[in-house]
Amino acid sequence: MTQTPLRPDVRSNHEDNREDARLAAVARYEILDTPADAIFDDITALAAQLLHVPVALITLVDRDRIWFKSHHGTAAQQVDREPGLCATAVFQDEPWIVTDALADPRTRENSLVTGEFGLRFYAGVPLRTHDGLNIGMLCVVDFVPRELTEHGRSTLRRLANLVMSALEASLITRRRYEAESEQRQHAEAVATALQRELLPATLPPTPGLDIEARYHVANCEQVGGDFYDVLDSDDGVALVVGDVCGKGREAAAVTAKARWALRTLMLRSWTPAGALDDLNQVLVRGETTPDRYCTVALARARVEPGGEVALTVSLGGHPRPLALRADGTLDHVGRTAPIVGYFPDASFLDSDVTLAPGESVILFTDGMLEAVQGHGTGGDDALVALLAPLAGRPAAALADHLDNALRHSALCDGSLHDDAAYLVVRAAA
Amino acid sequence: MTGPGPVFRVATALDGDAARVQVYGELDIATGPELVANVTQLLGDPGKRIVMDLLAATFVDSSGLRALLDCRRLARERGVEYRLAVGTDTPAAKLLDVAGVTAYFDYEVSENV
Repeated sequence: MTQTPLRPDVRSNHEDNREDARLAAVARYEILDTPADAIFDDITALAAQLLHVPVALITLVDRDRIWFKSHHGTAAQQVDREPGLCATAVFQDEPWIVTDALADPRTRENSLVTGEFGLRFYAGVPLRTHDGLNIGMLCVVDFVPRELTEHGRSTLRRLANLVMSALEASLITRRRYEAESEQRQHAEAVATALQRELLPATLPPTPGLDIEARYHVANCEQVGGDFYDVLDSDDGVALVVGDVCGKGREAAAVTAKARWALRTLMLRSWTPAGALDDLNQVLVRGETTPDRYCTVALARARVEPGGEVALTVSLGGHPRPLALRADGTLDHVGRTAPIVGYFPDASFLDSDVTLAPGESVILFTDGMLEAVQGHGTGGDDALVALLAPLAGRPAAALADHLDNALRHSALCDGSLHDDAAYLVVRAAA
Repeated sequence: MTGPGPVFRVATALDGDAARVQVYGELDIATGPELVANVTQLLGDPGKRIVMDLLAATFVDSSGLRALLDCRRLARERGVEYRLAVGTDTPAAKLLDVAGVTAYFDYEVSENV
């Protein structure tokens, strides 16, 4: 061998720059001090087996140490750059081979050779990045002198290529994962911000009415399906539960439009059917989101002097709300009318119902109905059975029971199929 | 609780100018677009007739309704007759009822008894 050892302490500026670039490349792979990884352990095991040596290492030559990503046949996890042989070998473009370390002038005084470790044979191939920087070595070591055949060199080279491919792949995977998680966080932040536009932050004070609103999102990245609102107006308290066809940004735009259109309509004298008539026209004539419609249950609640609540309900393509009577019977409330925002000629109907003190009405979306009933079963008998024993209970107790039923359904099915929203409104006893 | 629903499938039978589109399984946000794409392909000359057979649809939600409405609009734009076969008390019939849109569709004559 004619090569002379490089002495890292005597380096030119050019070499300094090159070493900085190399160290940057080592850092780029974000691999230092990471846990063991089966792919790299397989490669060192293969190297030892194919070359008939006891020790095989994948090393990364860091600023002041040589760190082993994989160490087959030795418990050591790193060595100092001095005396480590990889720190010398890593500056070579070719495989660095020492067939008898005690006889080789490059290594015969090295403490790994003269000391307890007793290294006699070393063969290493640099791990070279696509931009030509050697970040470490794939090397094999033996404690007796040995020759390396051309076949052995070629095996080492191929395995070193495999190591680099695995490093690149793991870097790409990690980067992609980070990018995705960043996107997800961004989407969740957008969803939260949108939700604030679509739902009331707090419910207004409503003397004589005990109101609970609950909202469950099936998928926080797909915001905008269900909505609810509670608004105090001169004509009474408006109770809104709605569901916009579709998901995502466009649906959210319709939700916002519907919610604010209703709030605007209620600045003047209004009836539920009249408000749905107007909302239908607003959405039908809207230009931005063709063919986006919604279903709405809209109720107006007026508290009578005796504590009874006079409810007027109008539905637009929406499941009928349920009135929970004092004796535990449940009445369907409202008359079926078309979806809102699709048919220019749709018209809507008011229905009146009175709640005695302690009685409640529950307005809900079909996502809630489906979750309680079980996917695809139709009807509302399970919901009726769930609510019947709760007659006279406070709105929060009813809402908690519904929440539990939803949670149970989500557990059974893995998740909610659809958003679910509901309002429980009770005539305060 | 119920497991994953029956697989969605669309089968189309052609008889001259008449096409019968049979829907099996769940018509929802995942499968609605496929149905619309199917019907879009069938829409040719005015004078054609399409029957959307929903008797074997095991589940129809609001997104499924959207697909039925889209097909209705496409058929109207091309002057194609578009009728539904929903029977009574089927998931499709119930959904049309809750959505208040029963009166906006035409139905296959034989079942309009």
